Amino acid sequence: MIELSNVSVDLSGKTIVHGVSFTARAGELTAIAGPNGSGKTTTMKAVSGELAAKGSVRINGAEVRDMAPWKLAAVRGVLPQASSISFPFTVREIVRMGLTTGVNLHPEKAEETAARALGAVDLHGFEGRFYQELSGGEQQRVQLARVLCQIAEPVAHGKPCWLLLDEPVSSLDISHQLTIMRLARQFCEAGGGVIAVMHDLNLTALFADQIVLMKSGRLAASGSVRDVLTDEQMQSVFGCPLRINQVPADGTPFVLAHSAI
Amino acid sequence: MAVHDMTAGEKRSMFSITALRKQQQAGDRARLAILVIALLVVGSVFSLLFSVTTGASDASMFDVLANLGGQADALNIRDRIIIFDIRMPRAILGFLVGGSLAVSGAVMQGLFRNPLADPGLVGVSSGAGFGAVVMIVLGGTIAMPFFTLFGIYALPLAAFGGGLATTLLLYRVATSNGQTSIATMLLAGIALGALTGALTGLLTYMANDQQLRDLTFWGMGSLSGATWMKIAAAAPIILLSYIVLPFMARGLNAITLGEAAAFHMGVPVQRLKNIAIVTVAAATGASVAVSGGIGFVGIVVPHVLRMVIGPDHRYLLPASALLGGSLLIFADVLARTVVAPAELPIGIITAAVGGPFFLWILLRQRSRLAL
Repeated sequence: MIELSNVSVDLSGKTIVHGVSFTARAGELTAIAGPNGSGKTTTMKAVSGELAAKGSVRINGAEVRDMAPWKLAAVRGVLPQASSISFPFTVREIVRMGLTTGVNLHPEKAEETAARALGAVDLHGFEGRFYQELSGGEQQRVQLARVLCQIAEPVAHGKPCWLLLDEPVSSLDISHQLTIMRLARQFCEAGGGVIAVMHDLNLTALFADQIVLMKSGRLAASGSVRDVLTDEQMQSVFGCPLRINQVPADGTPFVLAHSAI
Repeated sequence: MAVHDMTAGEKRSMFSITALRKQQQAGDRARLAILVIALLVVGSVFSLLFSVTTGASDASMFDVLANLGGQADALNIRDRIIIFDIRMPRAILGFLVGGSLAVSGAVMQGLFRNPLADPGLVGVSSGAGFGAVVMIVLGGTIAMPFFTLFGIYALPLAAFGGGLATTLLLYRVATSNGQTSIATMLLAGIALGALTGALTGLLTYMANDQQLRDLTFWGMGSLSGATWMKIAAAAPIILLSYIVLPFMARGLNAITLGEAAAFHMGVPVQRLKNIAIVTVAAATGASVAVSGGIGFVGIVVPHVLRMVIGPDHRYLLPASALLGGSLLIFADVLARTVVAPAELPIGIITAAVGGPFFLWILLRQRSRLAL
């Protein structure tokens, strides 16, 4: 479990996140949604330990601020938003950096783990390409493959491992968006936990077990897709008249932007 | 596949050209890097032997090797003095200085995530130089206690202090929220270089004739004053900075993805930065103290190596030490033979080669630098 209780984060004197509390459970995909500047990424940074936060953030029962970086790296991997690199690393070299950190339960399978991670993000055969020469979406997937090498097992030593994904599908085409979201789902089904900052509400509705909705640095709502994705919530959080609709077949909610125009 | 799992045949073919090419296509440059490092070790030994046997008195390499192997009569007394008391310390000092300049360039570039960071370009060498000039000019007067306390280490330590202060300042100014701005770094380097240059100028103005002569030759960069004593003063600091390199390599690899990503991957980022900054200052300071301003080694050597073996610091750092060392030895041989019996300051040679090379890097990378 990742538990946030009354978490606040100050950045250069300004409070960005105010008293946010929620719990992300292993086996579930928790999505953090909300408008630009609502504190989603900052909340994520408090969870990853990157930013000092007031209140308490616990991963599998241990307080994040008391954990050494290498201990944290063994239980959670973080996919950052777009990152550029100024040295000519190959895809293989970047991905294998994930293997030299974190907990590597099966060092003899290093080669296999790296190949599997690249396959999972649909970049098989890209090992020899230079990272700098890839497109933005491909770079994002290489980074995800690196994270999947760091956290190669959804469960390690009997405890769930975590993927923290900051806008994992932001620069991907629709087919790869589905690939990555399915990957996150599979990780959850195998016993791990995922927290993802999401902008696409339809993908969120399709894949999330829990939605944490934020507005102006505060928690606006949290709960199941059905409870959080309502016309009233959308109106109050995003400030435009979005209509939540349902496909009759299985009743999954989806967002129709047409009504807002 | 681990090396010990292989049959002898596989081990032999591991380094064959086709096997290397295949691995390189798969993005794996580790074995190529190991091969290059092995070649550089051979090259370094050769450069040392070449240097001690080149010059007005020409003993052959075999005679030197025979003498080292215990055959005392292989060299006559005059050659022994020339080789072991004049050329040998000079070659070894050149190897240490070249290696530490290249390594501090590589570490600094890794730390700043930027192939243009170089102690000589961004004012760290000037800071170290200022520390050294303080010792040279004021060593007889107000800095006397420092000299009596540290003896032969006073000069390299003062240079280390100057280098450390400028590196820290530079990092503070150029980095905010874990992101280093290239433009800010280069501009801050110019400002720091100007400041330490002014202070150095002030001291030069105060210096007497003998000190002035020392300063001028020292500032142009030269290995000509090499003695075993100088090696004894600089080598411990340089070797200490080499010892920490293996512990930094993985952290520096991770930090090229950004400070946040390095932290996510389990690297204690603040500690790594502190160690890297002290290492750069120590290696630069020690070299500047014994050989003055030898420029461009720190930028050319890591850049060439990255093109061949890639930017993985586990291989880049040792390879830089070896290539930097042997290149500087060759540059020194050139410096003392090209206008024999006179001698060129070695800084002139490294700058004459390094300047155009730096421009070439700029031209190639103009689009990527996005200043």
